[in-house]
Amino acid sequence: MAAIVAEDISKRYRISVGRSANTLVGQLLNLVKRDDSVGSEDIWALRDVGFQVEQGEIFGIIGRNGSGKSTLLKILTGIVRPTSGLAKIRGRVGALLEVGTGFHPDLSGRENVFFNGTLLGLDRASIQAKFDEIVAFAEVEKFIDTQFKHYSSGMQARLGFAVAVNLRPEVLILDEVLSVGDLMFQEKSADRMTELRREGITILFVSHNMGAIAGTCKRALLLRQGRVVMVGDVGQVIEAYIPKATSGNACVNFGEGSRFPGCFLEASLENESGEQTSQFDITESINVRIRYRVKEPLSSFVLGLRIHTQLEDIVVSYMTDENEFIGVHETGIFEKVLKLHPMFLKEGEYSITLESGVPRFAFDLYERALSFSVVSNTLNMVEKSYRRDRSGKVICQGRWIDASAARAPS
Amino acid sequence: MIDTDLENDVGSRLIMEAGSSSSVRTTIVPGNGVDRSVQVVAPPRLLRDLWRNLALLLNSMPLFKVFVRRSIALRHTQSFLGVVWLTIQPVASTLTVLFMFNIIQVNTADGANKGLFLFSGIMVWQFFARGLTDATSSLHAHAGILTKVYLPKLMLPLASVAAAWFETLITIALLILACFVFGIPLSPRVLWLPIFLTIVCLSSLCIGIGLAPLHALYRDVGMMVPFALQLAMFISPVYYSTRFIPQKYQLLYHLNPMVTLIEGVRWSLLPESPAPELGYIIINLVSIVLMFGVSLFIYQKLESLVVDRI
Repeated sequence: MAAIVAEDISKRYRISVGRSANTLVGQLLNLVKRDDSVGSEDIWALRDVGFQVEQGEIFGIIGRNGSGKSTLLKILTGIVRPTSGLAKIRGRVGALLEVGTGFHPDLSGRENVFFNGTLLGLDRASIQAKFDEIVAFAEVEKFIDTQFKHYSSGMQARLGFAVAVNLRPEVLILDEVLSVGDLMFQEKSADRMTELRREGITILFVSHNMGAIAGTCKRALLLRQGRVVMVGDVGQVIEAYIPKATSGNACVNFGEGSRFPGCFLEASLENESGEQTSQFDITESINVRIRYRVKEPLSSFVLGLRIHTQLEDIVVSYMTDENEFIGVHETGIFEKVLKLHPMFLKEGEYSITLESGVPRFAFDLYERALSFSVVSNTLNMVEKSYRRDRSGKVICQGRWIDASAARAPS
Repeated sequence: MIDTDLENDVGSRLIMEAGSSSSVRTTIVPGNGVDRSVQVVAPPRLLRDLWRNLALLLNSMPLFKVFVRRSIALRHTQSFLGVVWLTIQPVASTLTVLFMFNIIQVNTADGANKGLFLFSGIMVWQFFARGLTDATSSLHAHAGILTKVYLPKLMLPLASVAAAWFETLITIALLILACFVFGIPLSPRVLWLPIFLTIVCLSSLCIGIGLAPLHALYRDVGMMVPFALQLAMFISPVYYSTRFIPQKYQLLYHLNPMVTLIEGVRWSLLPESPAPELGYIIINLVSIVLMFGVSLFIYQKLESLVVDRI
């Protein structure tokens, strides 16, 4: 049997409306009176959710807030019972669902570790054996004997994570709730995840960070309004999830154009498939389509684009006289497309300035007429040198070659 | 105190967003055949769930012990005086009532030592009432854990009653101490004392199990229970002897299990107190068992609703 099997899980919540909903007396009276002013609404948090996770897989669950992810996790861990359907899990489950879960504020960190270990089904001796490891991992050595309520939320979460991960469950369920810890701790956590994966532990990973999902999971599930929209290859599932970009200016229209002899009519941003969009993945090729009119034969008429970041002026500029020798430009309406290489612009917000002119005379200048953003949905950026916060303005890939062998004495 | 700027929650580039630990125990599902370590989460079904709950409970003894310890610790850390408070209340009540009864010239003790008579009644009632209210609020008090951790929820009211039961030792000690204080000699009958007190404990459990989910779901239960206990106290022989009840009402009166139990406690301590009648004892035991059945039924029916609504 697979490690986790979900069969047509549905969960309905009945919300009672009305003052009597909260009181026993009210409920009993309702049974007798059959008052119509008291209604109850049915809310289906989950509908016919079914999927399987094999032993040792890292499986992602994505979806908007309110799509039913937390409810699904609660059912899988047995906390909440489904209205219909079944969930089957093989092995001991460790789940991180919220900060401070199962940790009692008045007990010390030490006592809480033992308490949680017991909840996980381990006896005192096993917990004692792992105790130092857990405390070291959570970096709370100095405070292990102080009351849990005095811990900051980050410390609480770190200890919770340390307990769950170090007590080696067979199935690990991670629901992202808070961001915790600094970068070093996060890298430690990622390392530990990889270790667990190698040990064959099944991991269920819920996150809003698409890069993390893409980087760690092979398969994923997309939930929308309680239903499974898609389950399968993580790349495809993420694609299905990403909403079409709503911000950014993917298209600008100049109407009849300016008074200049060569003027812009329209400019737009497209991806490889020709769709207009203002959001591009870092691995996509960005195309800028420009339509312009030339009213009279112009010699050496050139179009140019400047790409800016939010703060800095120019990332790079393109002029149409780079690739070909321009003689006299005929009259008419023309279209050109500038194709930018994929893996070129780092993640971030960019805008494009359009300009045109002839040598020593500038025509149009439309500053920041188009804007777009570059995101990373298919790559896990953690180790990449071109990660957003690392130095470097653009991505320009090089290659490391090992030259040690070439130096062999001859 | 803790140096809080040791901690910084920078969260812009995330690998792991982690919460805190909760967990699930491996359930040995009775009769599941093939793979004993597979847990099945299914829609609630009364009898199957009840069976599974009990099996799970038996398997969770270490966890149960932890909860009992926690319950005991909570009962004593809540109030600054802790155990002392356990004593002061009944003593103060006894002295006050004793004093007032003296003034209005009423003797309800029916031949036994007035002080110990009242003290024993008050102590037993307090023991029962505390056990019952703790069990009733056990689910609601652990609301946080219930929604985030998988554990056999039946454990919670059980743990609170077990914690109460551990305090029987203190209660017994106090009662025996009171005997010395009032100069009453102890007889072998005192050996029955732990037994009666245990049954008191069990009755509070029997009712508490059914009330716990009700309290977690409905706010007014928390007000009704203390009120009902108040009324029940008057129809129990806490301040008076059962012999004052007219003969024709004796049977009806004895349907209240606490009547027989308080009588039993008094009988074990005071030489003048009569033994409770066997017939009534049997009736009471039967009704306690019936109450347990009804409570368990109510509990099981409402258990999943509690997690949904709490």
